[in-house]
Amino acid sequence: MIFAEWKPLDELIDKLKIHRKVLLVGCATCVAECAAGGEKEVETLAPLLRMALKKQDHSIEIITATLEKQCEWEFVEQLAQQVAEVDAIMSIACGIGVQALAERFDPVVVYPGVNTSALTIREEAGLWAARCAACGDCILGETFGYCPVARCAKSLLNGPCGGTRKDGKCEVNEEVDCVWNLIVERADERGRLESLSKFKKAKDWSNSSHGGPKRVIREDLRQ
Amino acid sequence: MSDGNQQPGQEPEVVLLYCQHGLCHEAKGSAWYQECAGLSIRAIMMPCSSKIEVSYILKLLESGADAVEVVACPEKSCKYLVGSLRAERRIEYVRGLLEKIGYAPERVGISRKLSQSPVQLMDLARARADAVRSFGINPMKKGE
Amino acid sequence: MRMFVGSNLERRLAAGDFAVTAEVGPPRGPDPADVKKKAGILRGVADAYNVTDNQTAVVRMSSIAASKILLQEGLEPVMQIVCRDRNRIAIQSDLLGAWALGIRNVLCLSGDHQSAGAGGKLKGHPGAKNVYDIDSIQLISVVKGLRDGAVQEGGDSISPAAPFFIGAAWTPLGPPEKFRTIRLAKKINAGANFIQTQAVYDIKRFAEAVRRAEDMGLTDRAAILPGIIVPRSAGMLKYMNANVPGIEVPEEMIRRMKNAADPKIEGIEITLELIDAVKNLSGIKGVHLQAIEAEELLPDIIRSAGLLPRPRIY
Ligand code: SF4
Ligand code: SF4
Repeated sequence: MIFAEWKPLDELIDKLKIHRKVLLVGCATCVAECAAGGEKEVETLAPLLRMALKKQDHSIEIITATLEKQCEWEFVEQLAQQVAEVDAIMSIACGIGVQALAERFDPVVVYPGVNTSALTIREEAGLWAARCAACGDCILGETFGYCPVARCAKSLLNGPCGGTRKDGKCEVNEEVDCVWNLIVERADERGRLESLSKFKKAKDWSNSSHGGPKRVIREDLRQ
Repeated sequence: MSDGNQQPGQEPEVVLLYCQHGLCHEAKGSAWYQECAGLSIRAIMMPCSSKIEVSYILKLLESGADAVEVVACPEKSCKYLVGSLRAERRIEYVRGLLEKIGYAPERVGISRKLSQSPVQLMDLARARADAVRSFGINPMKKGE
Repeated sequence: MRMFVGSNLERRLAAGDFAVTAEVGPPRGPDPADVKKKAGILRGVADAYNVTDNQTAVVRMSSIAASKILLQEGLEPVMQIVCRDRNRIAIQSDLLGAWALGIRNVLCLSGDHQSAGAGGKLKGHPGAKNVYDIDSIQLISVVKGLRDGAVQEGGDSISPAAPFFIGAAWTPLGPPEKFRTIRLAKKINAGANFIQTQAVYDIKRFAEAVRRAEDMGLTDRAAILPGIIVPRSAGMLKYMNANVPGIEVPEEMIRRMKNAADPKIEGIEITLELIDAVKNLSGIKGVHLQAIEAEELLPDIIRSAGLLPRPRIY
């Protein structure tokens, strides 16, 4: 899922305090999974912001909504009526949702309420970890199902740097497994360590964000 | 430190959220908390403290409660095993949020107790009230 | 063995002499005098001098500039290149520039992550965007392309070729240990001519790792120079053992340092013993010495090890 976290509350309050009435919008998809922008979080953040603004003597009304998918136009449309009442929107969906609202409801200002930072899985309750970096040239088939692009701090493709710790953790973060250690162990378990001795040449990053903003057309789906 | 207006003499309004196992058998079913009139206390029974959402507590504060006291089962006796532990973590989280917006984290607290008599529950609420008295009334009450 | 660039280091190794390299860390400021001072201390004691590239992710004078200053001072540099800060375009451009300036030895490294900030001792730039466009092994093959194929990574040709003597690092005792020899092989297959290792203290385990490399024929294809960091105190050894990945310090060595009347002298003693031990290992072609913040110790150490004066190179 796309992972996001609340921005510092001070930053949000600072943005909202110049407004009169604000619509706080969540999304029930990825950001709900990562407990940052679902309905629960909308209903947590709204009272918190109201309390904070009131305490600073700003009288701002905050109304709320949560869309099933903030990145799909048909759902975005559902906000039209509420948006007509407000002079600003704060979205706690990922950056895609924020932009969908900004595009649909121009010229109403839309603030991001979260920082979108990774593509993660929920490893266990309350613990999310990166899994993919949308590199545009997936190599999971050669790395035994572990992604070194997203999970190695240096995105190394030919094996671990010299920094793997004694306990198999990454030199950059003692809480995070060195993904190359995982790759090597799984390869070894499957008796296929040899397959990792093959040189992986410099990666072509052009199908990722490095190639410029992505734009894809599928003729079969065009109308 | 004060996060609100000091108004001596005004009794803090405390919401007591208690797990059903937090109240002793004898008192169940009775409107026990009315026995302690004079204190501004609202008591709400929950099936399990783990049902207490962060948003719920914030809503109570938003609507003017000066303090919220959660009564959860002690770790070992929680009927839903980790329910009360979860409640405790959420309370910690709410306290952190309050601190960030300049509200006294003491406005929310949790006690881990089982089978409390009405008087004991009332004492917990009173202790919470005492803990917040110096912070004044909840700023949300201003200009109501 | 074919001669690629004819640098001191390459010729020393080709002659079969025991090579000595040392490290010169560029300063955090812009003053060339800082580099010259270290050059003055170390002139003549080693065959080539590694110039680190923003080591531990702390901004320092560029390795290319400091390498050039060493050249002017009559010392031969091994210019280190890390993959953290430059993409393949910038790295190749710098390689061409380095060659133009007379730099002939390079060492290809992944580099410390930008969160390192000198292990927390300095602020560094933890908010920096890293690059890691290519990894250290791909970097080796890029350098080899410029040298052997006169071709850039993207396929465009260059004229003339830019020959370098290519080095790489090896952490033989780092986990996953079973992969470390394979990784060494990958580096040598990609084009590495010499290998400088993570600091060695546990000779027994190091010797086993070298034997595995030898069994794979790797020690004939690249010159392995074990790294030795002069120990200064028991605390330092303990710290490295616990915190520096790939460094294994035997318990008795730490104890010996702790009980020493003068840890400085004991550290030198240990260094000499380590040099002696690796010298007698088959498959070892030299030694890479580091005295962190104490370069002035190296001349005496190298002399006492019987490695001075450096034999003339023909
Ligand atoms: S290899 Fe690329 S596409 Fe595949 S999981 Fe990793 S980052 Fe994502
Ligand atoms: S320790 Fe492992 S995961 Fe961390 S940077 Fe090195 S290779 Fe990547």
